[in-house]
Amino acid sequence: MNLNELTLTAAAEGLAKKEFSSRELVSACAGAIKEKDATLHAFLSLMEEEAMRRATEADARIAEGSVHSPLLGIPLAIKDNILMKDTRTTAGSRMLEHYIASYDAGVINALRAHGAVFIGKTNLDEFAMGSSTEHSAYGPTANPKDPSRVPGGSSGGSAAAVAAHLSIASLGSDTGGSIRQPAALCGVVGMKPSYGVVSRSGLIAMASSLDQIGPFAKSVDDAALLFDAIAGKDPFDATSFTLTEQANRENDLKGLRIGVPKEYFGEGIDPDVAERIHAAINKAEAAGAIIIEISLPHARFALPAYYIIVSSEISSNLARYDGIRYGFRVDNYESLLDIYERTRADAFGVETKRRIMLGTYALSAGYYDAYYLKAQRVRRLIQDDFTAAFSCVDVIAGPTTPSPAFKKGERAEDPLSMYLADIYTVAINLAGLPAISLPAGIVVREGVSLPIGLQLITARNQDRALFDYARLFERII
Amino acid sequence: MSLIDPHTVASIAKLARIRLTEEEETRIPRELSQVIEFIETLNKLDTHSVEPVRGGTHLENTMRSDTDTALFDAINAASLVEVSPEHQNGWIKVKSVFTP
Repeated sequence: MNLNELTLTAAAEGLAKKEFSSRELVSACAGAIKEKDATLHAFLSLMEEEAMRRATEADARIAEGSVHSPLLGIPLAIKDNILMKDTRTTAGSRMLEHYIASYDAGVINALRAHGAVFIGKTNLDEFAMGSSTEHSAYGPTANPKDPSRVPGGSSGGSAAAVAAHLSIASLGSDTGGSIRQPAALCGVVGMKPSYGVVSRSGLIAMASSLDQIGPFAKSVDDAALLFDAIAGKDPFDATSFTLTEQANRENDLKGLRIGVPKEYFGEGIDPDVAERIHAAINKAEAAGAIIIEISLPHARFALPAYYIIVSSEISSNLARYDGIRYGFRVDNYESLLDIYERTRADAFGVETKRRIMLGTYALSAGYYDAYYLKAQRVRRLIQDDFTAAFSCVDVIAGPTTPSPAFKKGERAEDPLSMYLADIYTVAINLAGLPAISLPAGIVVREGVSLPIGLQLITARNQDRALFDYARLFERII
Repeated sequence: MSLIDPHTVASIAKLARIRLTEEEETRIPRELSQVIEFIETLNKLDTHSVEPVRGGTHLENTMRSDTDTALFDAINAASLVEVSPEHQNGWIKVKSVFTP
């Protein structure tokens, strides 16, 4: 096995036992990138020199025996909407094409302290808006399982990097499914923490009441290690806090109450996907879990509520891109208004403008109550659905996506069909809950095996329990 | 499907500070109308007695003592000005805000 194909857990063990060095690990990833990334386009920028420097430092610390973290010397890829000081951070947009970050995100600070190595910034839908990475201003990313298909989005680059063994693990961000959906489509583990558990400082803001940074990894254990390194209160993010929950260390599935929402298996789900998910749940039942059919009565209102809220918050958060303090500014402007209107016209892509327009409309005088406030009331009902469900189940299980990876170009022109890819994921962000997608088998399309994901959801702030349950499922499915 | 009228779209574009191309002036009313129709399903729900959610956090009154400046020294003010598209002598350059 090549070093870049190792899991984080195995790589950390190998480094600690001095079976190989961090420099060799980084070289292996760099080699894989050279070989495959011209086709995949998972990366927007690479930092090989800096990575080697950090790897050398890591090797020195390992040699002197001061290994305090399993992340020491491990090569990670970082979604390009997470700020790394003195490094180009584009958010997948022309607006920030030449923007050099002035500070490190909270998660980057945390990972530096752990001695992790950063090998590059990964591709994403522009400003994290999208479910396919086709809306990147820098070209799409390919799905490593079938390059004619999308890797999902918006964190498509980070998902592909892990699936193709270009990095040992990676970070993405999730506002409506942008970690979990690409994880499912690429066949890796992707987790979105409860709102507030991971700092948003230095994450280029999309929708501030929904955004969270989270890990992509090759196994649940790996994802948990990366999660532990980045979770916790950050003085630069007033909405962040440290989880006090202890790991349950559940040893088996016996007696675990698994809720399966009946609304998840109605119209719209691919029958092969439904079959795989039912098979996974049946295996849990065979192992002693108790399967309880539950209802999330407001499930079908989650997508419309989400699109109003996310667009509104986007319109507010992207107002800062005005050609004044950073980023792109048009030439030959006549007035201040000219700078604003033409900078934003030229440097924002189609989907970004769409959502800003929708959000501006939803928040405008005369429409605010009918759209934005209405959506926030519906959000309350959706939250209440989950609260009621968790009073009688420990974990909710279902598909992460309604279908496997779609072909490039298939949905890019039709916003509504693209939005449907998020049907199982957005409600979780609206409720601030933690959720994880893990590989749950394959479906075959045109002779190609395409991965699909099982999504597990727990009550808010039960992130460690979620990892426990995910481990149990991973062993049997 | 009722179209959002071009006049409304023009006002939204003004509020959003985005200059629309002719192509966008044709396409965007149609797209916006499709999305509005999609979200009008929310009106099927009676929510008059439901409190709207405000923000993502459950935390309240998160405070810090106003003494620790070391945290903020990590960001150098001059470097923030330097990333601006046009700057001079440590100031960001823009067109005049008030036109005579």
